[in-house]
Amino acid sequence: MQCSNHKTPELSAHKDQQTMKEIKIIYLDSPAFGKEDMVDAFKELGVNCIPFFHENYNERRDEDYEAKFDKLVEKENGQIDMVFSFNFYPILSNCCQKYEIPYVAYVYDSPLVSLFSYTILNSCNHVYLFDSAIYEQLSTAGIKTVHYLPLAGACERWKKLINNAPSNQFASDVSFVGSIYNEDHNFFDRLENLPERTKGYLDAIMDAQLKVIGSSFIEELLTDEIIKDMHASVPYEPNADGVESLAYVYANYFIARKLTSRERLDLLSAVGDNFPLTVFTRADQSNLIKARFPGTVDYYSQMPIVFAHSKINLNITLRSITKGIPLRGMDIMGAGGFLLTNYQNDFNYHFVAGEDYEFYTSKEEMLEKIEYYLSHDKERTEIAANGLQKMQAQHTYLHRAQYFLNELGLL
Amino acid sequence: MNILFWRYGSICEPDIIDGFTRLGHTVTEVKYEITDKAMTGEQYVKLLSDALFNGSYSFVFSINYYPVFSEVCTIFKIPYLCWTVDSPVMQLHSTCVESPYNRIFLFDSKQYKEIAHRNPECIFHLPLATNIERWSNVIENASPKDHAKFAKEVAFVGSLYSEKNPYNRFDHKPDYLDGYLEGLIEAQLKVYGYNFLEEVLTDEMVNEFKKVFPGFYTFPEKTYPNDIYAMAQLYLGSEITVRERIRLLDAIGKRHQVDLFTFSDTTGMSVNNCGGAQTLTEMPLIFHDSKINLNMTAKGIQEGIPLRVFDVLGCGGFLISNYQNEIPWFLNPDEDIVLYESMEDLLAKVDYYMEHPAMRKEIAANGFEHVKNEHTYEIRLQQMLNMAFS
Repeated sequence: MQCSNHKTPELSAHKDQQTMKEIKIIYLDSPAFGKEDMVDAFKELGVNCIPFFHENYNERRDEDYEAKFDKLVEKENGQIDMVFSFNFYPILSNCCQKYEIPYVAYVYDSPLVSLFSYTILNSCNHVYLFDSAIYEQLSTAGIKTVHYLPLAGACERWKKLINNAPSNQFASDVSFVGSIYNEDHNFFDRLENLPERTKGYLDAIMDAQLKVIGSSFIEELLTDEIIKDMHASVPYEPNADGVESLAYVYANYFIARKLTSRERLDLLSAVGDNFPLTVFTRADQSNLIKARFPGTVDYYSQMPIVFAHSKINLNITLRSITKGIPLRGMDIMGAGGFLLTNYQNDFNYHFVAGEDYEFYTSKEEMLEKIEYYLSHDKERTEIAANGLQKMQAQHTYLHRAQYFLNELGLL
Repeated sequence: MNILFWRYGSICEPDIIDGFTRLGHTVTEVKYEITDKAMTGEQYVKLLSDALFNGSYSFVFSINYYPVFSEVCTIFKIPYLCWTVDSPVMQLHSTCVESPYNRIFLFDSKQYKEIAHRNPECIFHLPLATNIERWSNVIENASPKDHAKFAKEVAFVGSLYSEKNPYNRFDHKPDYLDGYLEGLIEAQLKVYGYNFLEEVLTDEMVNEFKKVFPGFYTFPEKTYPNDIYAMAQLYLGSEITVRERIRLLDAIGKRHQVDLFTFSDTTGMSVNNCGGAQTLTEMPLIFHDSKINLNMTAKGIQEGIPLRVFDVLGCGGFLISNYQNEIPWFLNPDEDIVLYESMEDLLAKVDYYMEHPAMRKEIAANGFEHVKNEHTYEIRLQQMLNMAFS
């Protein structure tokens, strides 16, 4: 596979910003992890960042949204160099296409059904995908507007945050930050009144998938007959402008979350039975997992401290992310935490296992590595330091901001 | 050494006898079972005991594993050497694998992992081999007409197992169980190199299955019964093998001429059914002269290299095989042999190699050299004797 070229010029403050033409961008001001950090990075490069928001940002068509966008562009006399959003929004892409403004969409979610909208073909698009599997799927289908690019971290800000925190804040031997997906979001449990045979089939392919790491077969195994039954139970209507298959939607939005939930419960229970574990998640689940449940932590201001102060940070990737490095992986390494993750292929493109992070391919291996690294402080701290160094050198939001502007010829 | 060789009619017996002989040993054959497949346990005991009373032997040898021979040899205090060529071999679950007189050689590392712990000193992993001279003789002496007759495009020699598939007996299917097993079979069909059936099946599932499946395998006395193993390997494994062979051959047949040498029914498939092939006279010509030979390992063989792989390469044939864990241990993928990991992968590779005759020739030549130098019966049997008596 072809990776995006990560050669970026030396990061340095732009001393003669005044003498250069001002770069002006619009960014979608909808909720997204990393949004503030991304905008800060653009600003650090001297970019004028104009927020844009409309409550119907998730709609595919909306006249009021479009009018509001038109108005903003008019106000700026059409002098917009680029529009930026996390994830990909068809309505925003269409707005950009109208004015031929480059639209940079930096995708951190998978699944993301909007990628199957025909608007992905708009020539204004520069869609950066963090999961090489989706990139391969779309580029193989002949879509030229997509690129592969890993996610990033706000290493500098996190460092300050961590340095200013009490040294024992959120300290733990083993930590996990994330959802167990058994609260809401669980579409699978809404599939009621399925025929017994279909229930058996789905249980089997899920049991099998949980045993197999590194290859995903659920979507391929959803036959028309099975999908018909799922559709009869919880209908999904494809978007009018979309070509997403029902198999994609049911496999990734329904089954992948259920699988992830089962996997996280299973692995965290095993960890909790053997080691001191803290799980930062919404609900106390100590009836299921032997762990401390102090509640959630704020992504922006608290989570990096957890990662820096935990001896081992677990990442158990959402099963719909086939190969990509999930944001959590970057969060942990970028905060200087020691990362123990399930095997995800894309780590191989940017990091070295055993030097920058560690991975497991089975529950047994996970437990063995936790035991090993809890008792080998020097190796553990070295690995965390290497991971952080690589993040700082190549994977900060500043690198990404500069990369986007470079690709558009704006720097 | 004097070897008492119990024969039952496996196709590799003549090659093993030939190999022992070349190594300078004397082989005495006991052939009753080749003609009488209905012998009782007492008959086996008597026939082997008589043979041992009437001669002086260094060890007894058989293909696969006969618990009764292990018992007789333990009484006679004489080593019993055996070598598996197939899987599953249910007899390996006997308690008598623990006898110190056994020297059990298993061609599949998964088989080895399953039972080696019961007698680690006496159980060994040993891959199969091929008889280069035998094949060369046939190939060199065949007439141009014979060569032309067996020069196929894409060839497969073997059963589809559809006629002997015990899973066909599963016809009274409770809905949930039916759906579950269907899902499990289809999932396993997507994955090469890792057989998860036994890990996914639960005791409850097996008990449900036993209730509705007529004639579920009963483990005899003096065995370690394992119903999950039996269900996965005897029943689900067979069904998966049948589906894989039919689907893959049919899919290739829609793009290329596929010649199938089989006694199985191929009605409705896009293949040319050539009927059975004579193992000793016709099979080597098919392997040697066809553009592409296929190997789709039966699912009971979870990690090992099936005999067909060594034989195709030993005939100088070009082979595309499913990925099996052990193949890269003993052969070089893409140099000696081509491996596929999914139906799409197989179809692409067949298309590609049909268009690249020079590469086919080169790979076949490499494969031939490799097995000739490292995987002949002579080499293998010497390894066996070294392990057995060191």
